[in-house]
Amino acid sequence: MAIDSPLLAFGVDSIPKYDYLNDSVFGGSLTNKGLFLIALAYGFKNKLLVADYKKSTTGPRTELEEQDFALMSAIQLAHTSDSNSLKDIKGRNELAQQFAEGGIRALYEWLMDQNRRDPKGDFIGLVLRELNLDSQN
Amino acid sequence: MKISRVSISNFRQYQSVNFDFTGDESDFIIISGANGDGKTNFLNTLSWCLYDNENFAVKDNQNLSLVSRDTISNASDSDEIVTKVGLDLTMANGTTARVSRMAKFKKNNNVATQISPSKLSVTVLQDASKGSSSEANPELWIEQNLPKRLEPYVLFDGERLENFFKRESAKTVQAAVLEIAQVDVLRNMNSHLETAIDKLRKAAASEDSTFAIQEASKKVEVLSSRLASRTEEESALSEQLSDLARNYAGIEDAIVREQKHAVDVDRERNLSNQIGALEVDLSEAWAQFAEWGAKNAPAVFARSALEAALGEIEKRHQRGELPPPIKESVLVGLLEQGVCVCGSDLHGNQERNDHIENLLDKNRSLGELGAILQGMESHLTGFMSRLQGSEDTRSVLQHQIATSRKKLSELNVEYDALRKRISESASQGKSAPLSDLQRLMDAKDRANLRIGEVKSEMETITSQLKSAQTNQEQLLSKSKKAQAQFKKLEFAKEALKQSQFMFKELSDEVRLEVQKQIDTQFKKMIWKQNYIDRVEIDDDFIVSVWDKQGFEILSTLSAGERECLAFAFSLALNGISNYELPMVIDTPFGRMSSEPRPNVARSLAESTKPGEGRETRQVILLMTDTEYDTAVQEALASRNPKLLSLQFDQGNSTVKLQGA
Repeated sequence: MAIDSPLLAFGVDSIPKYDYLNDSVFGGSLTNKGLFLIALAYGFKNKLLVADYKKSTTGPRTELEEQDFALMSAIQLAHTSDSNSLKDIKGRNELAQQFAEGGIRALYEWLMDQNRRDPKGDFIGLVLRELNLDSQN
Repeated sequence: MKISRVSISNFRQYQSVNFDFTGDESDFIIISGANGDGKTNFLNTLSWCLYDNENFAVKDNQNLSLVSRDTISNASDSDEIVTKVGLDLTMANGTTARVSRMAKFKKNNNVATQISPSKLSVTVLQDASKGSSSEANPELWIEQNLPKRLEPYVLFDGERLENFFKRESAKTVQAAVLEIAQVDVLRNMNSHLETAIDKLRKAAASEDSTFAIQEASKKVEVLSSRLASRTEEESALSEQLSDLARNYAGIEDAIVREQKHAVDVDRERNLSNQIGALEVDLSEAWAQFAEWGAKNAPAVFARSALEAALGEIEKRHQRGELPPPIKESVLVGLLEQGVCVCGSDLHGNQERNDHIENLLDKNRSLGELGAILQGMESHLTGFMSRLQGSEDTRSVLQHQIATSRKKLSELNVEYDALRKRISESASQGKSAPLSDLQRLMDAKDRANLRIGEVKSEMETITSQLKSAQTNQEQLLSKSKKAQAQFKKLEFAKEALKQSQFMFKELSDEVRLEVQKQIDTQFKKMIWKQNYIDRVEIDDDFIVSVWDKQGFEILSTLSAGERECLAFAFSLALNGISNYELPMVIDTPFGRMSSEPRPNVARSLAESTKPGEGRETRQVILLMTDTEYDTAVQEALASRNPKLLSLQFDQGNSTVKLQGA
């Protein structure tokens, strides 16, 4: 159950990128939250923090839950290396949006630049490689 | 006789090619070439040059112009195009005969129309002192030296040989044996004598006009005429049966092809369904895998953050700064109910009660940061354990996808091969329907029934005729007026009796000799030597093959085995003939599996070598590279064959010849 629904805004320019990612990789099956968390984690993993971008003021809105905030807080703690930063909820949300912005841009570039024939397979391969499992696809 | 040179101009895909078979290896020639390179048309050039026919053309090509489309398109309108095939034949007496046939065509509206009948010429080149002479009657020269009736035993299409005994009746075998042994001359003499006897009988009867003789003669004439009519009908019916058998075989082949095609189409449909289902499975497995990826990707990418946060929490636990992640409301509930989460009574267990109260105190004294960390702990642990638990799902999905992909790839390979076969089979055109076969079978049944009736009528008439003739002859023998003619008649009858006896003796002798040779040759070629007992040709010239168990197995022989039998038959005929004609065989091993090929090749090489009382028989084999494999090469090596290679030049649309 969503306990908080902050408007975790995507960048205006990135909204089509979320759509592309959802359509080409996940066949339109993912929620905004799912896409946002993937972008956030990917951005964090690759240290892609984008502070300066125009946020969308109209949505899409993510329906976050406690576990999602826990993930955001873990990223906040890892990024700041300061436990006290965890008290800064606004800062946590802002940081998550900036990493998500960096993540979505990079994921989109990766998919587009490589002109991939099988984006779904390639994305899964990316996850498997991260788990140190060779893709057997 | 040997073919020493062949020159071809404007004959189908041959624009201008000269074959030179002279030299030390002139007895055994191998011409290799892929399908479409002109092997079968080489056979057709010989058939056309000698006999003005194209016995080996496929049905669809039979009505096509001899001139290739490219030659036509390269010519201008009204241009004359000459098709010419020339053969140099080295005869047994050392002379060379140049046989040539040419036909003229005129191009009109991109079509080459033959403007005059083809013309045959034969020039015999004597030695230098005598020069050369043109034969005034070239057709007669061919008939004397390369009789048309021997064509089936000289020019062969290996792919059709398997039908040799299936399609041809015993009558054909008999005709072949008797013709090639020249025993048919006696048969012709018998026929002449029968006609002479008939005339003499009439002449004798006309000498005496007494009522009894005239009546007896009338009866003989009526019966003779009736017998002649039945004989004619029987002959027509036999001819009809031969035609039906040929058509039947053609339709049967087409139906077998159609059935194979139907099986392929059925399999294709089945495969297509399997591929479709597998693609759906694969797509679903991929969707699940993508879902797995999406679900786990955040934890996977942010794993270091999760581990760092859990490390921080664990440190605080160790320092006692952070109680276990149990909510305050839960601890209050436990104390109020007096029951621990492990089920023990808290009121009766002070130590445990104090422990819960202590946890509650610690919870209440947690600062904001502690509360945040405590709130995070269970979720972060959940992320990590889900990540570990997802490994099994990942493994199952990956295995499922790999297996499905492998299966899909195998099915696709089979599917593609099947599609190719179906498309090739479809391009051969729609075969005749089953109703055609039924119609032919009905016609065959009707013809067989009628032939049975006619034969029975003929037997009755023959018996009546014999008795009428005996009666007539008795009357004539007593007539003084008919005496002179009657004596001639008696003499002619005696001559016929002797001639018939000689014919029977000679044809039996030839038949038994052919039987002996076909038996020897067939056993040399066949790979089931221990299985075959003998080949027989009975009094009616019906060929049969017997196994060691005493069963007649001709109808169960494979295509390759039938082909061997046909070769053996030809070699046997060659053995008894007075001709030493070349043997030209197109795709000799095309229908044979690789196992018997070396045996058949060896036997062909050995049987055509010079031997006791036998000259070398020239052999020209037209083979694909697949047929001329290493085993066949080894088997033919003893004849040191001359190797030539045909190649169809796509650019110039013509066949080129290379010494291989």
